[in-house]
Amino acid sequence: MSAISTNEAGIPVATRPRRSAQLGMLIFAMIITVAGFAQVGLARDGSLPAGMYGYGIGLGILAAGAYIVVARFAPYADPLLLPLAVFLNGIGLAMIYRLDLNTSADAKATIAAGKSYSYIGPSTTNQLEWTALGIIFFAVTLLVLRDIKIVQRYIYTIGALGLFFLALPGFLPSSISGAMGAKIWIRIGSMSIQPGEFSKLALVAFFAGYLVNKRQAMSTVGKEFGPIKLPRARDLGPILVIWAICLGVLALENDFGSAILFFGLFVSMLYIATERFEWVAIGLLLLAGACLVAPMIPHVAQRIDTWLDPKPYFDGGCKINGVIHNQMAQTCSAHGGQYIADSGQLMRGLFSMGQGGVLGTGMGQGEPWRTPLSYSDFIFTSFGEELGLTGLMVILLAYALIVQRGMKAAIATKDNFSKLFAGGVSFVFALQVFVIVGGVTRLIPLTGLTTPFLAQGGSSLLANWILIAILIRISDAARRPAPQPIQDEGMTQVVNTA
Amino acid sequence: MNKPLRRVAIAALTLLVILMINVNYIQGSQADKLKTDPLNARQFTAQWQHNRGPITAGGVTLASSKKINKKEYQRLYKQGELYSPITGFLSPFNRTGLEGGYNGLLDGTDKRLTVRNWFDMLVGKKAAGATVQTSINPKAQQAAYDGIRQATLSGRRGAAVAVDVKTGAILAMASFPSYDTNDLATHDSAKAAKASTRLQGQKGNPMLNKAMNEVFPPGSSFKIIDSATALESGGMTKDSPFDASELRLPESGTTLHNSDGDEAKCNGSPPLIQSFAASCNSTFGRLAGTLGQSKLLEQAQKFGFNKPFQVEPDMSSASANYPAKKIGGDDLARSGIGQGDVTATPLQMAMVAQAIANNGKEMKPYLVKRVTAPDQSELATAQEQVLGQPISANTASQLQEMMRQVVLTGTASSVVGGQDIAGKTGTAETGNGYYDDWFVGFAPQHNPKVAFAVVTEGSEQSSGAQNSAPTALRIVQAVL
Repeated sequence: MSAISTNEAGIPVATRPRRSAQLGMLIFAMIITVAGFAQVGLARDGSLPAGMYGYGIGLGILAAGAYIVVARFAPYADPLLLPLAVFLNGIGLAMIYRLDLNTSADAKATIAAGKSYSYIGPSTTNQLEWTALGIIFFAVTLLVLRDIKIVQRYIYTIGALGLFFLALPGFLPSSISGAMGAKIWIRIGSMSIQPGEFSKLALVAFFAGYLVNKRQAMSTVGKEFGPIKLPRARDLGPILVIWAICLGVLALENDFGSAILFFGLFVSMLYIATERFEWVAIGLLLLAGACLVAPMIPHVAQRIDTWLDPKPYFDGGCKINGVIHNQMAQTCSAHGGQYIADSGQLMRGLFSMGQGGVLGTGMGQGEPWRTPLSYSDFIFTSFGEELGLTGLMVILLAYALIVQRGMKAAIATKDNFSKLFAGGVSFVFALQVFVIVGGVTRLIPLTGLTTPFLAQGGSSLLANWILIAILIRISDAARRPAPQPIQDEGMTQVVNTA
Repeated sequence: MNKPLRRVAIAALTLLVILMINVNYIQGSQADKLKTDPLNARQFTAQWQHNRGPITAGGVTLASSKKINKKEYQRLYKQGELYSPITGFLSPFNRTGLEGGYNGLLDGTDKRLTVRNWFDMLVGKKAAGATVQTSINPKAQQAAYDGIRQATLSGRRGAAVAVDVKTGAILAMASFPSYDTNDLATHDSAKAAKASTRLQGQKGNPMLNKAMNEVFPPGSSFKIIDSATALESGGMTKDSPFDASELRLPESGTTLHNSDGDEAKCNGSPPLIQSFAASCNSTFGRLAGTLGQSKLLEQAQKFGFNKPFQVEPDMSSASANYPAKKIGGDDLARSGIGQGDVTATPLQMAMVAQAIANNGKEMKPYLVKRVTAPDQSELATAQEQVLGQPISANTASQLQEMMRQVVLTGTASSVVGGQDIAGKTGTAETGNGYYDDWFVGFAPQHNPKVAFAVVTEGSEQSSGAQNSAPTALRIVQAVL
């Protein structure tokens, strides 16, 4: 029996586990990560850094654990998904380590000068702890979800929980939930969680389950308006209600990045489920409408203004009667200004990328810390500076591969729920990368979303590790050879519902 | 569901491809623009980490870099006050002069250097900077600076420019008062800001390069341009007789005075050359009226008036000015003697002298002769460039003769009479307690090699000949 055959959808699938390919790629990802740490140390002190051993070995053990779990419990899984996640998580850790060293040096100098220093910034230890937790969640997800259909049984519960956690920060006092203009956190002691990251997965699961049940009805029964056939209200209703709740909540929380994400999620999943292009057309029309209406909201208007022409807003610009005044942030409202906006972070991020050029300065040799939040929202531009265009292309290709592998699993699997789930999760992943990377590179207006696997932040890491676990589970199911029939009944046993 | 899934997959991957195109655009084609954006502060802090190449003049190192710690270099300027108009400086917040214009080559980030050092770039080693060799003659520069410093009235200003007649290479460019560029090259931004504020508060604006970025009323030195106009488009020769008698201004009826002691020479209808040598205001005020504003404007613009000279990248002069808007008869007469709205940079007047000395061909002025890589290979070399032919060779030779006459028998004869030099004096009243004293010319008298313009602000008893001609002589003696 050959190792590669094609399934009913014409997709080549491995019919035996590809453990060695996975292990090889995983070792390669670890080598890149450790090399990243080594370069930071060599560039800064001329010697291999102490952190390389601690963090390198830590990540190595975690990766090995993840490999064993995959090899044992999802042996047919796509061999690239885990190495890609480890690679991104690893270089993210190396970059945070590099930024951490820099600010620690600042902190040391400040303390030595006898000044007090309150430190909020990159923390490698913290990020490694979250990575450990993320990989544990990954393993637990794979162990518990031996069959993805288990999720299908609890979709309403999952959907309700997703909605609850999404809405929660909006109703909590700002002291618990607010930071940097958005209310999307829940802080308990020193821990902070962004529940939106998990809600995203929960809502994909809910929609996948709901649409699988209703897709026949939605695409066939309904009223016709010219060429458009609308589903019955009782089929479409729950979706519209949840959609409205999501967008309302996000507006309440000033979280427009997530709003775009959820919007894209709904449209793409409706399209996949119903196979009707009208949904995409309606979605695009609504998007166009939103683009017309959104600039009327001051918070959005200033994001758009600083995106179109950031220079006048550098380090604070005050818009008075359509004219932008720089360096008037303190007295803006006293002069009757419409709003204060600051493009300093965006511009510094671009300067950071400009500094990197094609080949980058090398890890530890640039000055990415000059950009505020260089370790979280703007970690992409930090990579742009130190690894250059070359490094950014590798990172974007790694993201593209995750998306492609996820989509491939969705196409290859026979189960409709899995198809929708994997397709939705992959699309949302791509859209998230697009919104945040496009934002920091001034392709679209900047909205805060996390850069998957790279940015510092626990919730994002946990959620993305679970996402990878789901894709691995689905791809394992898709590539697992069908059980040998006891009686050979030919193809009659396989029903292709796609 | 596979068909929509495939399409969604394509859409998702398209989003990522768009991101890839965008980062290619930013880092591939916009990187240089972002690096030099005025808002980008990192270009000024990273600058200390480069081992910048030296700026030299005739074997003398004007600016050099010294390693002060593991990562940083200190820029050192030799005789900062003397060479500030040429080198400029590197401060925590700006770069001026050649330090600004040749920054990429000096700090080693220019593509002409990085391409050959691609291996260094790959391993993260910074390329060493190039050497910028200027056309300055250190002796002439010193003579120019010493001369204007001694001649300038306390609290006032002076400047001198000397250029090579054949090539347009700037041989000396001095400005007074000046400043020590080392004061601004400190890595401590607070100190640099303090030095900058202190200098900006001082009389005579030390940080301004008066030789090309400040304008002065040219006074009688503008009579060179009147004469050029008369010879080029007024149908006259240097020997044409022209009314030199007392001139009453057409509108106000007041007399345009000649300088004391010249009344005897400025009478009747002497040949033009004689009025030129005696610098008769009556003659040239009247001549301006006869020639008319448009002809004078046209000739002045041919010499380069009303637009800046681009000397080097990021080093442009201020614009000399001859009024382009219609002026009245009185102002037209005053424009003929370089007063009223007429102003000129010393560089502009030196270039007028250069064109005359070069048989009418005006060359583009430049400061950098050669740029060499650390391995001595040549990266750039000055290209001699003809800016234009503002006057014919015939006019040029007549004007040369007229400028020689000034030294032989005219206004400069008492000061530099016996010397192998030619020029035109100018003394512009400012009404502010000082005179702008000019000497604009060339040397030697025949087959000229150096053209110059010297301006000093002297007392109300001073004159162009007494106050500026000696400096001009010192400069040409240093060169020849």
